[in-house]
Amino acid sequence: MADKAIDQMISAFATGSLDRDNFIQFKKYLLRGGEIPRGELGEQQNVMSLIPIILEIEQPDEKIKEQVAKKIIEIQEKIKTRELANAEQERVPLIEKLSGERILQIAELKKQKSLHDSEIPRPTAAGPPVTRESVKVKTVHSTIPWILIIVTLIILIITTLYFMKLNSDLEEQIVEIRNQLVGFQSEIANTNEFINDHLGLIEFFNYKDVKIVNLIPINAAEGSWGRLLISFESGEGLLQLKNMPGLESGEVYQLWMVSKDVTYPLSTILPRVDVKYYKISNIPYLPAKDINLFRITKESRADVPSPEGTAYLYGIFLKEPDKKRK
Amino acid sequence: MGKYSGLPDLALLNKISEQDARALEELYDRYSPILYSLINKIVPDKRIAEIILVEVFAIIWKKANQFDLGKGSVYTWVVTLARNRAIDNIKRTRSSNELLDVYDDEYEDFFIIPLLDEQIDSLDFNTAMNIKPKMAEALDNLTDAQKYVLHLSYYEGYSLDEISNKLKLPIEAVREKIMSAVHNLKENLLGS
Repeated sequence: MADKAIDQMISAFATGSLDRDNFIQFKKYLLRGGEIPRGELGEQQNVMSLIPIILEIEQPDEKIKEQVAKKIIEIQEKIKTRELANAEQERVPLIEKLSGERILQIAELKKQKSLHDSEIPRPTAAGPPVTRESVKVKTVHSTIPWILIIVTLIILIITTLYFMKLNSDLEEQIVEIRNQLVGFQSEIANTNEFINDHLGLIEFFNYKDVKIVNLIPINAAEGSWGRLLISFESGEGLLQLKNMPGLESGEVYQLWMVSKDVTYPLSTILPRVDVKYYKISNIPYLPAKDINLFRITKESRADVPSPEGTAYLYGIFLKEPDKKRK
Repeated sequence: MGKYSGLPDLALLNKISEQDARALEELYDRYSPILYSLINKIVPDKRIAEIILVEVFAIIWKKANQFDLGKGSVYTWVVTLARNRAIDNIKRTRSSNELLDVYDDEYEDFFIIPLLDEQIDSLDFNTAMNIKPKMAEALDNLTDAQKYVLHLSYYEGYSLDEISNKLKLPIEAVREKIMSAVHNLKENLLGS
């Protein structure tokens, strides 16, 4: 009966089906060298360990091998750390083993040596002698790292603050420069617009004999006006018109030049909002002194040979200042 | 082929006990597939199975010196160790916290490191692999009840009491079934 119980315990132990208490009890029994049938447990342990071989074998991920390697390195580092700690602990009991008398003897010897050394300082091969001054120096030396750390921290803080201020100033300057740049771009755009608007006028002033005629309304109450720039050498002119009344369909404005009671048609004009100066070409060459008048009329159609419609503006050459009077 | 690939299991474990990392690498190459398959059978979560596999090789590295080189059955020691470690994991997930032992070195030495019979026959990896067809046949020849109790104890870690409750059988009957299952398996294996 007892044999059967042992057999059952062996099988349960081999299959790993003993509960915690029975496992502890049986393992302790085995560890104490308790009797079991020779080789029976070993056979059953071998048989049970063969059960997994019929499983479908699956390869673990390759990274697991690396993880094992890392784990082993960690274990080795822990072992080293533990060994160092143990070695440190072993040194203390050694000192504790010395008798109190022996410790006192060593302390007395050290004291005598220290006093002797402080009286007669002399260099030794082992290094500088231990004196009161050297103790002070050691104290100073122990504070040096702290001073260095504090100084380093202060320098770091100052440097950081300096760079923060510098950065802030630079950012302000960048904003200011950007604003200036926007202003310059705006000015350039305005200038370009002006040049584009007045390019014809600017080019026109390349002619040397440019004369200007202000055209005023025949009815002074009207707000219309014009300006005619004329160069007889080139036979060209520029006409600026402002606040001219609107035209009916087919109607045009016509510029006329009157010389010695002969009226010359210079140009037909259809006012446009986007045109500041109307270019006039093929102006007949006449001496300025023979020209009586410039006139703008509203005509019912273009290319009328002589003025038929209402006159709106007129103008004459300004008299040049009398040089003799000057 | 590594320098240690031709070494028998026993020599490898001897070198591992002397902290030879290349020996552990060879042992890993040799055993990791079967150990991983076994652990994954017990713990179906692959991620946890991988962690346990790493733990098993860490235990082998630390505790190889606890293996009695005179016994010679490295295969049984390594496989049983892996099985114990995986079963411990699922037992901990099944138990309520107050019943758990602290997992420390002492616990590991007593409950995880296998205690093999003084008289155990030598068994290494290659020999075990050669037995595979015979083992499949031997298991096939067990009764369903025997297969089931072996499965419950070996792969699921249930104790005799737990199996008794689960199968609603007297504890004595369960003991008997476990014993007969192991004996029959052994006889089938030896007889085939």
